[in-house]
Amino acid sequence: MKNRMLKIFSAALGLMLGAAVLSGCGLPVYDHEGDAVHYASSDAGFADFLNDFTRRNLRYDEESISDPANALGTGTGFAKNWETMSLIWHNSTGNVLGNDKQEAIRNFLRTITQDGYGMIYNTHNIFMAGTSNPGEGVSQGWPFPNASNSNGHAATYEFNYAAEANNWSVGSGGSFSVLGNGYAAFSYNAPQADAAFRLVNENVTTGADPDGMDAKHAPIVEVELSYTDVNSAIGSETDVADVSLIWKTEAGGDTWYSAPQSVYATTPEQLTYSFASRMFFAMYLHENWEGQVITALGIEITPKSGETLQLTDGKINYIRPGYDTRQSNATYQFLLALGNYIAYTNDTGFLEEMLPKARRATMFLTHALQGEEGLLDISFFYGHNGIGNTAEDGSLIRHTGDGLGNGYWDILPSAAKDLEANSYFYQALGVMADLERRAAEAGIGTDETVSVKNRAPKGSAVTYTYTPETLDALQAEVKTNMEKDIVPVKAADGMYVNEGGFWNPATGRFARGVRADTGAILDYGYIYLNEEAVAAGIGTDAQRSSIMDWVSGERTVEGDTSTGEDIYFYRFAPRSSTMQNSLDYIWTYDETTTWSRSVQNGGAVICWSYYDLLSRLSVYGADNAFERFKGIQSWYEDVLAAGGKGTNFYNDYYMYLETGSGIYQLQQSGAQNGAMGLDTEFLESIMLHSAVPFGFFGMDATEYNTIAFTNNLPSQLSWWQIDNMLYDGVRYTVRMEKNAFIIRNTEGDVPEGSQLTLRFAEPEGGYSVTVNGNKSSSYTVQNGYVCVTIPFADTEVRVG
Amino acid sequence: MNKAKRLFVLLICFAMLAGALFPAAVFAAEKDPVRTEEIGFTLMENWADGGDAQELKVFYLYFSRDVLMQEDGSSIGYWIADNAGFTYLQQFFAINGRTMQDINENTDTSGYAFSTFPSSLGGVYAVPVIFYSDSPSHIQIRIHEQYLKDSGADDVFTFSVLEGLYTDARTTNEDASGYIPVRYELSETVTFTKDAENEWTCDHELVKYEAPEEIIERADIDFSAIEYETIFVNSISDIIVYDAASQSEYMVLYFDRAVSNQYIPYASAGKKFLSSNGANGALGVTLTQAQIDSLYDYRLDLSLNDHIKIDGKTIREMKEQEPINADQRLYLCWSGNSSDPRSVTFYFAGGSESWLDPSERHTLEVLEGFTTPLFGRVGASQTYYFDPDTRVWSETDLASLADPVYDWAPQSAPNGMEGWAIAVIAAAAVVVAAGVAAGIAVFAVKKRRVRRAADAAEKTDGEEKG
Repeated sequence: MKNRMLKIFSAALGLMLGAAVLSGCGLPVYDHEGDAVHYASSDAGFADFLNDFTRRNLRYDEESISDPANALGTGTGFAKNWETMSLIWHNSTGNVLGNDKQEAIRNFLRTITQDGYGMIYNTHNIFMAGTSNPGEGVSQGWPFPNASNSNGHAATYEFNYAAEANNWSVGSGGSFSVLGNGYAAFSYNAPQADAAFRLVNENVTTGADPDGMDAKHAPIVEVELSYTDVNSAIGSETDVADVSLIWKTEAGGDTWYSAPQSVYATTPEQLTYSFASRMFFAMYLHENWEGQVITALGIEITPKSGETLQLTDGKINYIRPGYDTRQSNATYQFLLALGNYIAYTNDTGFLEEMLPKARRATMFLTHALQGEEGLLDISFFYGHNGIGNTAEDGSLIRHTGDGLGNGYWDILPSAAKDLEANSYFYQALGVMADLERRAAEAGIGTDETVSVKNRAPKGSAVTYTYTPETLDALQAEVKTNMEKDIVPVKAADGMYVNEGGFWNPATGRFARGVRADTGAILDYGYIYLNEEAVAAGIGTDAQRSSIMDWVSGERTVEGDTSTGEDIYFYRFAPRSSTMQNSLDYIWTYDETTTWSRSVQNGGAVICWSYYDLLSRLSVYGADNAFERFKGIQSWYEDVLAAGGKGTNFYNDYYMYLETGSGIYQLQQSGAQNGAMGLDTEFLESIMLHSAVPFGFFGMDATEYNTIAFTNNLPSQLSWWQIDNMLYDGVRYTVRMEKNAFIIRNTEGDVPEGSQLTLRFAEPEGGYSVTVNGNKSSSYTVQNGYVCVTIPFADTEVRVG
Repeated sequence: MNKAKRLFVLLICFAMLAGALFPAAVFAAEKDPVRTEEIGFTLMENWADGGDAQELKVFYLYFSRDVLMQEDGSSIGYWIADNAGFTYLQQFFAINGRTMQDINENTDTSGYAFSTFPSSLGGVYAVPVIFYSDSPSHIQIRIHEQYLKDSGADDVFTFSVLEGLYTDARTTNEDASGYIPVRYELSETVTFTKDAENEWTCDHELVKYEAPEEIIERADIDFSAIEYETIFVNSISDIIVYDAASQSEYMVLYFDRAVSNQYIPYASAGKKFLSSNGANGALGVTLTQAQIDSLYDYRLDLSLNDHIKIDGKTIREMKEQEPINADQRLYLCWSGNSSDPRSVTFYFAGGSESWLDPSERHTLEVLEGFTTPLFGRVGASQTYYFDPDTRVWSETDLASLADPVYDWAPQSAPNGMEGWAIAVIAAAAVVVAAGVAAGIAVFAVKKRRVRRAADAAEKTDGEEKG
């Protein structure tokens, strides 16, 4: 009897000691009740900051930092990747964030317009209201510059007032009138076979040029036009051969030139019995337009040989000559967004559906923008030449029609070879290679031939032939080329081109590009652009260290306006640039160029802290990155203490700091320009929280059926946890401890074959790997990391 | 063969041919309908002023079938009043017990004003009661206000359709491949009563109108030769009530690309309607007959009627719920260049049984196989859900979901099994456990020592004792 009591006591003692040992090994978990993404960590204050920031920036409830017009998921093409990478990996489905964000992203990717070259539009190419104005309803390009910014050099024809009809005439058999509802109407009964309908304005003048319109200010002509061929019906051939823009030039005298839409429209229409299109004619590609003065302009609808045209219900909304505001952004943002969507939904059906569109988008980058040559060249877009203003004899000279923007900064001129464009081109190639690999693994057929319009007018269509291997090879080539020194070279036409890469040895950082008229290297210390490249893996080790030493203030670049600690003047992010820019702006920009008064010139945008943190993590390690994160927390707590609510969250803090200098002015488009990008149209501010999974948790789902994490837990924390993650429709919690990953709370049906790969820096000396408490030998060591791949489920893996 | 023989053979041939044709001729001459059906009534509608001088009161009687028509199926118009083939009908309609024929033949109208139908027209319409039918499914009745006053029927009166009424009409056969004759008969008098509030009641049960399937001639199309482009629904507009009084509303279904460049109104209606209204520009666009034909040749009417479902019913099924004028009460248009070539616009005209209440949840499905005039094709069905709270259509049925739970409480505040608290508790437990264990161990050791000491004492005692 006495011995039995002893045994019971001993067993109880053993159990208690065992529990104590276990709880000491794995830190206790934090139980969270709630449906939205949520952070917890051994630093409770830090987790509170993350949660508060995330909630306000997810923009779904009364604490949203923006009105509903700027809700997440509504963003346009230029920022779709940034939006997607902040929404797709957590529980943003259903009604958790008001509407289903996955659905919004999927629908955008599926339906966004793509032109004949494969270019993705910024917004859907919808018809405009009758009384719309140039710059409204941005679709293929950007709202500005447009004809109204041309200083009188470009004229548009809106057909809003009856008197406008006076300048236009039609030939025999035609009728034309301006209706007064924003449209002109026309019809045509051809007097004989082969006669074309012509609507012409023989007296093209502009405010600046009474003799005609300089084609430099009209490289693109946008036309919204419709008609019905009376003699044809659905399924029958139309009598119309083509719809063309026609014009005369000063040099050509009475000669009419023609640009058929089948050749010069960025998206040629397949003609049917009825025509309705909002077209963009790339007129600068026509030899008799480029460099000319346009004296007459019109539309011609030509019949097929021997046919007698009868057109009815003809309608023209406008004919708008203007600038080429296309940008490369929306296309690679589309590819990256698609990559993110596919990675975290693992949706092979959608991949199969989208693969042709993605291939065409890739072709736009590699063919039209010549990325296949090793670097993307956006000079295919007219006027993208890096030419800003100049100063002569104390006067500011604005170069109207030059220096159009491309990328995040729409008022900064983009050079033909642009750093940001190439950083994203590099990433897009990687994404496309991943998608191709995934498609092959998923058994998605590749039978469909995908081809795009040749960049040369009348050239043969160009077919997609890339494989994952050739895409990888091109990506590597792009990286190598970008890392080369920048080399401005004067070409035969007197303009400068960049025959090198982007590395500026004089400053030890990447430059933006080369200004075409002077050959000047555009290097204002653009931190965001440099860190974007570093985070993407671009740069040699030495270059990456050089960049981060400059950003962190360890290294001073001679001539920089901001150095040392001042680079983080705004606390929430490094300044966008470190050197005063007084001249290199697009000619339309007429606001301040004083230092630290605009987001482009010494200001700061919070979303770019994402790249700052990832770059620090990559170059300096997790502890350094986390220290910076704590700095952002400190700033945020000061903002919180100001008591601002909802859309005034930041205003209420900065109203005390801003004393009229403009240094602490928030940029809010439509309301005010400013030095800080935090709320309203800055949907991408939410990116900051993505630094947690993509950076510290090393999350990566690019491999088919597999989500991977790499343990980058900073030493300042003993554990870090994210709840309501989402992968392939399964909700789960991921928790990181020193040398451990724990997956918990998996909810939903885990698809067959879903895997989890967990990576840990290989410990020095001896170590063992345990999976759910059992010692395991099923692991590999790759590039200094212990990698454990197991079925996706609640699990606990420790290495040590 | 000689001439006489040839003549004889010819006569024989004629005789044989005549014999062969005889049964067919007899059948063709047979006027009797192959079947009879009872006339039903769907609705008595309206009691309004009519005519420039408002000397008429106008109302409509709707049959449950297309009962009034000429031989070719077209409307009879005013022939109901002035054509010998139809004037017999006047015997079967009675006001306050007097037939129309009796009223018109035996009422002195010399004191009547006829500004709308002046007697100069020949006197045909200068009568107290006029019938008119612009559709086989209904008649319009116009009663002169003077007659109503003179007869004391200006407040409450009855309108009866008398037993024995018959009409010869036609309807489509079962597979809608052709027409068959039908005689509609009324075996029992039916009486409608208008009360002082101008509301109509009927002494018989009203029945739903059922339109005969329209026979649409369609060209043979080799659909397999068409390379359809896959299209997707992009969005659906809010349900927009543009006339609250009449509950008229519309909504727009947008695809990802153009579906029709031409504006085609009433594209969900029958070919007959579009032919009679589209060709003359009455619908705001001029459609050639070839263009109208092509819509039906390519089965685009079927696309709209059978490949879109609202609240689980196809447009065709919804139209079947409409008691009258289904094609004008619920109709779909290819928006074309009238607004946005990517879209289809749904109209729910005033009084439509299919009116969508914007305060209710709805579903809209675009089914696989939906095709467009520009040869787009929906490759996989898409369903959208209307959330009345947000007035947004979404592929996610948001309104069906439980309200999400949000927990943004600070981690440092009490919240379940908080990390640091658990750590403290765990550590405390370890300490306590260790203490207890140590205590037990000490106790055990002590006890063991005591026992050993006792044992030793016992032994010693024993030894001592021994």
